[in-house]
Amino acid sequence: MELFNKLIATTQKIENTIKASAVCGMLWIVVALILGLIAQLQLFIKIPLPFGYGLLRPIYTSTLLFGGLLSLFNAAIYYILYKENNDTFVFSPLAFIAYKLQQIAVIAGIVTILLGLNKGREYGEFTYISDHLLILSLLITLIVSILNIKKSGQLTIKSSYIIATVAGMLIVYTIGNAGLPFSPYASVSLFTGMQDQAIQEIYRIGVLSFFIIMPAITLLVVFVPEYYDVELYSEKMARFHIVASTLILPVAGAGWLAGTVAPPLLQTLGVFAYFSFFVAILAGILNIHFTITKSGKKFQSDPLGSLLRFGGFLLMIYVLVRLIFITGFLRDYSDYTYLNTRDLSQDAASYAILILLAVSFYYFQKMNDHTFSQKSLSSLLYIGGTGMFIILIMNTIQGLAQGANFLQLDDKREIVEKNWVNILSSGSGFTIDIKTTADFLQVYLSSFRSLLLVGYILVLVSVLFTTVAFIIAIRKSKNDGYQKPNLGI
Amino acid sequence: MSNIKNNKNPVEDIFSDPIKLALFIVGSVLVMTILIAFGSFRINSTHGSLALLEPPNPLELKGQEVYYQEGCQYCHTQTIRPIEAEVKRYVNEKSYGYFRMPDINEYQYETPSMRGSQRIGPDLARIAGSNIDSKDSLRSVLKGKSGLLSGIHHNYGYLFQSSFDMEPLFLSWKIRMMMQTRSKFSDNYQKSVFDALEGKTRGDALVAYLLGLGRRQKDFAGSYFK
Repeated sequence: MELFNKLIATTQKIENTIKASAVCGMLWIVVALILGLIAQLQLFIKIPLPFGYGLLRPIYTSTLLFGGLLSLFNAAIYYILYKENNDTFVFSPLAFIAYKLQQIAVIAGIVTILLGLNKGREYGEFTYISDHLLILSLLITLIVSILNIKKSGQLTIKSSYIIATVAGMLIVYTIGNAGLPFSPYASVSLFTGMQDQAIQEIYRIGVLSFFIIMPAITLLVVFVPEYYDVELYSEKMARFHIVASTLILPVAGAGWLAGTVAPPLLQTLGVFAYFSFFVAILAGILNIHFTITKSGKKFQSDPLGSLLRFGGFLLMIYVLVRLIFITGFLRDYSDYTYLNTRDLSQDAASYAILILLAVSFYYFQKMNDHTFSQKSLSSLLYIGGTGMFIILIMNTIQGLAQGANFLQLDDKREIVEKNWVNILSSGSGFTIDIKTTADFLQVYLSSFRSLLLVGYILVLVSVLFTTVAFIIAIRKSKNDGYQKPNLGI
Repeated sequence: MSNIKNNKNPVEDIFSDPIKLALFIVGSVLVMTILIAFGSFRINSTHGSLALLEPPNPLELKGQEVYYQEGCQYCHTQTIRPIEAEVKRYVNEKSYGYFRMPDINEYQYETPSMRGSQRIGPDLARIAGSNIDSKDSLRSVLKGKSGLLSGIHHNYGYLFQSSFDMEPLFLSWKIRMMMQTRSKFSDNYQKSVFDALEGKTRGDALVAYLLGLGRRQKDFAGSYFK
């Protein structure tokens, strides 16, 4: 009984959980971006590492999604619920357990991938042990969120977004990673062949929706009205976004099966559902846009506001690109190139980072009742934003050039450009006859691909700068949540 | 509470209670996924490719495991896009008959599906009949000694060094688990794993798997249609 009372009564520890989760999120993002940079370099430069692109790439994406973004999102929703409940948070030890489980799951997942135990599903590479820990963490987060909302007495549209996002994360991750264990560390999917491919595509669009887009929109829906002191433009629009995107999501996943040997009816339905799915998401984005533009107020262009608007703009661009490149020839032309609408890491490393970092920054500032230097946010906006824009533009240009490369055949029906390094650096306007390893570096540095490298470095530097500023601020924080133990010596 | 009872709009009802909303999200995604997974697929159709019903060699099955554990799917796709250049490039009717695309049955013993999403390197759906259609060529490519990316391609030579980590027992359990999920393996097939993997390395398994890509179409379906 005493334990139960403690579970309900303790509220002070949630601040520690929020801080720890936010800092972990930032550190995971920095680790992920460094790994992503090394993985990109490995395609052109021989780096003496025991791990090839095949191991670094899944660690990069999983760390970014399930370590970085998820930790930041959890920190933000705990803070939102804490404030909605007038600075109280019930069952805060459970939130702490969920945070710990998530961190252990990600660390265990990375170690197992490095040991060559990749489960083989994109964005679902962790072994079933990590999966179970992460699912448990998400389940606890959902339960804690529901309990806190129940205590507040009303389900506002902010709370609805939180519940929808966490519930979506839980079911999508469970479906995408369900398997039967056949060894102490490995499991096998419940499906085979194209049926399994369909589940993979549902999982992929589920991760895009619930782990990237919905968290970003959730935080914008909470933040924008609060920051600018306006009402959300339309609650009905918000509800439409949640209901429509959830109902359509599994069929929309089949849109990515178009052009395969999957059943034709499923492919056709999939493409239509894919359109509807992104239109529903557009409704969610436009709701935030209208909240700002139709409130009749004048807004200051401070770094935080500009950062979030730029994040929202990038989100809209990515959604529109997906809408355009699902149709017929454009889809087939861009498939498997750098202009790859299936690649979620680009979304995760652009607008999602901007929005989640900015909101975490803002909430942390409020939690500790002091202000930061705006330089950190300005660096994220100008340096990081420039990097993200370069990545988007370069991937689009190079993707189109790669698509053209794939279309050019010689008399023997072989691709004209025989050297894959030249295909990887497509768009440079010239090719180099590669004979030695040093030539690879020359090709790389003289190609458009090197500009992409600049983009990656800019994003990494800006996030690193923000993270350091954040950690310094925490160390200077007046609110000392953690007390050093008194050993009585 | 009385407001909730009087409310007839189902959407507003869902958005009145966090538990109802969570159940709606979980339920709708789950139900729609089940409908797609079980309602839209008719695998094992008898059209054209009856020969494909035979399961692959256990060494190939192990090879597929090595393929995804080493992360090959992040650089190579296994699918042919339905555009003219792609079809001409990968599908030679003299070798493969008039199949424009891989057949759905071809993948039925493969889990997880290895279609891939990016071509950092060439597509591998049709290695059979290509210029690396031999054990020696593939070994050479995997060890980074030949191929168009020989300077950069990660050296997978360590896969050929030892047969210590073949784990035939776990593969046999994997097959048993796949049998639980409707894959058409037999008890004898499960037992044959131990002999098939005897003295082989993970590299051998990967080569066997790669050599099998497109082989069924080439050997059976192509011949049938000629």
